[in-house]
Amino acid sequence: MLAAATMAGGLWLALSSPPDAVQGDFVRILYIHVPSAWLAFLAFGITAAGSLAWRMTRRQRFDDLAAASAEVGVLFTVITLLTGSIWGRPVWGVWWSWGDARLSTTALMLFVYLGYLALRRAVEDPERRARLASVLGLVAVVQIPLVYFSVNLWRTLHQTQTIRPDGPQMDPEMVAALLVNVAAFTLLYVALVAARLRIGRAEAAASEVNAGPAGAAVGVPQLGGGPDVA
Amino acid sequence: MILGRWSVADAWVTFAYLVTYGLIVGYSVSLWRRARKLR
Repeated sequence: MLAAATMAGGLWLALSSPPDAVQGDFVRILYIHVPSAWLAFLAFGITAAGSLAWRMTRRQRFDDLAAASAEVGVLFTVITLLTGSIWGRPVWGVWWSWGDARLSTTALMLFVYLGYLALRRAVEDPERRARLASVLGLVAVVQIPLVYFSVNLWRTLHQTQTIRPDGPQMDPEMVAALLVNVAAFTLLYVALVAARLRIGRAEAAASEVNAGPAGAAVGVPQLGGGPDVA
Repeated sequence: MILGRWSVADAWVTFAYLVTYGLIVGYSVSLWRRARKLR
């Protein structure tokens, strides 16, 4: 509820904040594009932290957290890429440019985390799945600084950071709208990860019930003695 | 203000917001349906 209320407030501020001197009303896409990118970074950072914690403690809850955060992070990365593309078409004149460092590194990050989720689905043994996923979760996190600093390392289409250590390069009213939306998206992330964790626990409990007690495998085929199916 | 008039920029902005909130609602609904199946 808190996330929904903050989202509503953020939406109102985004739509009522002043237009940009150069971009006009197109700048309003910033209020969903930047928070989504921030949440993608946070989500994949939490995935790496969960992976590291699992490797140190072998506690299943940390692997669950890494998985849930990666799934929500993929959602926010898709939103980042789509809103960036929709913003780029009227402002840059193109939907997409593989020559742009920020776009290409973000797309690469999406593909790597889609691979992370595919890996988790492909391995059934929980211990082996957590072991393999934790390695990928820790290695893949190097993409966050790569994506963030790509606009400084390679000057291409995408602008450099708006919020910098020397202060934001924006009107205070626009900064306020941006910060409220960052807070709203962060609360949404927490709510989605919590819901995803609850589902993961329920699925694990259901599969344990279905498996029955150890050694009592369900559905073992009876060889011989069964009815003829001719 | 975007709510006061309608322009080409408003159409692009509306498109971006619909895509964003559509994906968020779609994912939330998929989680809710998965949770309901498990009950």
